[in-house]
Amino acid sequence: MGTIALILVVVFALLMVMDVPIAVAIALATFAAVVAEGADPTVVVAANMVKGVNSFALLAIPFFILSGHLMGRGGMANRLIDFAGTLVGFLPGGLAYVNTLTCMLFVSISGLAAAAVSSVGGFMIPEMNRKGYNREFNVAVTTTAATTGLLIPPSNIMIVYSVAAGSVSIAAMFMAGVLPGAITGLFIMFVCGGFSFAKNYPREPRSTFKEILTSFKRAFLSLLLIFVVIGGILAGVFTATEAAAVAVVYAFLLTVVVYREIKLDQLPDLLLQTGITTAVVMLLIGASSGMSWIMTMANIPQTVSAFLLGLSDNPIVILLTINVLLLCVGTFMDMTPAVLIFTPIFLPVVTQLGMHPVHFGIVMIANLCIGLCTPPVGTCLFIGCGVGKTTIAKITRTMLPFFVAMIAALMVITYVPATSLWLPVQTKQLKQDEVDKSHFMTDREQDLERDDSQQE
Amino acid sequence: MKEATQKLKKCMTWVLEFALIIAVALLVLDVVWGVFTRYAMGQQANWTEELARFLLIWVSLLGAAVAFGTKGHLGVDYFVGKFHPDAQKTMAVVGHLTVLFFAVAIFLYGGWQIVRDALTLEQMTPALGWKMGYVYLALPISGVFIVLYTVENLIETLAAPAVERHEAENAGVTD
Repeated sequence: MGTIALILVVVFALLMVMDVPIAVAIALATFAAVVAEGADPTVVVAANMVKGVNSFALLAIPFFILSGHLMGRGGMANRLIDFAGTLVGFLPGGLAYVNTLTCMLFVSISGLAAAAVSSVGGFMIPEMNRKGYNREFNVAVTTTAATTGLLIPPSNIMIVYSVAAGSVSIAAMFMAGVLPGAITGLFIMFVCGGFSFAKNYPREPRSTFKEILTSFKRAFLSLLLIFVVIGGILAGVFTATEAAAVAVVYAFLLTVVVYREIKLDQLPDLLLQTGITTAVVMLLIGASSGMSWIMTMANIPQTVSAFLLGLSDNPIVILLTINVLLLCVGTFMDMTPAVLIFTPIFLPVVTQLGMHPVHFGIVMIANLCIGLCTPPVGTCLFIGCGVGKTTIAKITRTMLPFFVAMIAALMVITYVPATSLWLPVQTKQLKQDEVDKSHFMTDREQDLERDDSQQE
Repeated sequence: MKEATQKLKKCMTWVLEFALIIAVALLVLDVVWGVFTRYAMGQQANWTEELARFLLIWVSLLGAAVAFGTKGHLGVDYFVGKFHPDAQKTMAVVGHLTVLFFAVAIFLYGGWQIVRDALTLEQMTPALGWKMGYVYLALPISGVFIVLYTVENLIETLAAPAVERHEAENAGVTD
């Protein structure tokens, strides 16, 4: 058992260091482990490659990617910027809040954090530079807000998590992300407030109610996509996959017919990009499916679980350890592979602590979001630096308060389960008694007392 | 020689991308049709879900091959950047050989065995009544393309001088 774990880790680490695609590294680490287990590796890994992908739930991913590509290129950015501008522009340092709000909405609708940095940031960063905001600050706001948008539904990473975790409802994950996303967004805005106060950043003219209404009308059809998808799922009209397909039709009608920003001859390219992006995610899912099979065979989750639970009997400490580990992973690994690799390992641990799988999923995603804007490997940060014409070295100091804010938000999300679980219960996506059973951070003392009395 | 491989790659990519575009378009139409039949006609056509899952398998595997051609798969390039250019080149070559092994062992050999087993056992898909072996055929077909792309990448890496690659990468990071 120990040897199989060792083989998995060594082969994977070796291949990853050599910059072999992560999916290949996962598949070949599994391959080596299956050889050690004595089964035929070629068939096991290949069969899982297909089996892992053969799922109706996963179909939501290509559809959200396609609707995201359509919305992202279809003239949504400036409508959202105008709308957010009339709402929060009048505050001191108003453009920073406008940027934060727009990036989060953009990513919620499109699911593309990197695209938000280039298209929203591409307009907002130069505009803020011109109005005297600090260049590094502008890039920092854009990248952190864009990654935080991944917590606001609909979000593909939540679908990936619910598949990796097994029986976790996608609709519950969607609802669970709303408040944590809002909390992280607020924390980022606090930092913006601090900078605006210290540097005396300008205000934009206050908008009249009529202006707010006009800008809302322009942005309304883009924003409606969120409500069609989420509303349809909550009302039980669609499954997540069907909602995603409806989102594609909606995005197509909106951007091609109503906004007329996308020409029909651009569609094949969008379909191609969707196919490739989907395949990259699916190859990872297929490869991980084999890996989680061999990990279960070799009892690896139980071993890790026993080890972590042996470190301390305090759930706060164990959760802190897991969070620190994931933060480290997130600095150099992309979100999707990190979720696929670490969900089967850590989920059994936290379930033993009485944590709800939905809550843990949100913690994991909120955690890995931070990694998208940290060096050495942070996709969003790199794009942000490119758009803002600055460098990683120059921006790091300005990023620090934002990291502190995101980590503070992560701590709130981790240690106050209600932030994730309250909304899914209110919208009937989770049952109250099911949530009550997950007693992490709520009635631990009672639990201990119960254990003690049982021992006596 | 180089021109011939370039031409082959272009032709191959065109076929593969065309297939991928059609598959994604069919996927959208299929699921939308499923939703439509359920609400407009009261009963969902029972083959739509099955077809969608099979199309997803084909999109995933064909798209994965395209992504090997465009170097679109997620990797961690941080550690490689820390090494001497000569070592980087060696690692890149070993990396390509690893992908080659992956494609041959899992996609071609493993995939072919799965196809053969499904065909000899005459596994049928429940709703459409297709031979399951044909669905699995995506594995070896994708494998052939991955092998071709990887061999092409390998030749490219071997032909490129190590130092130039290093400088090009540095320029990319500081910008």
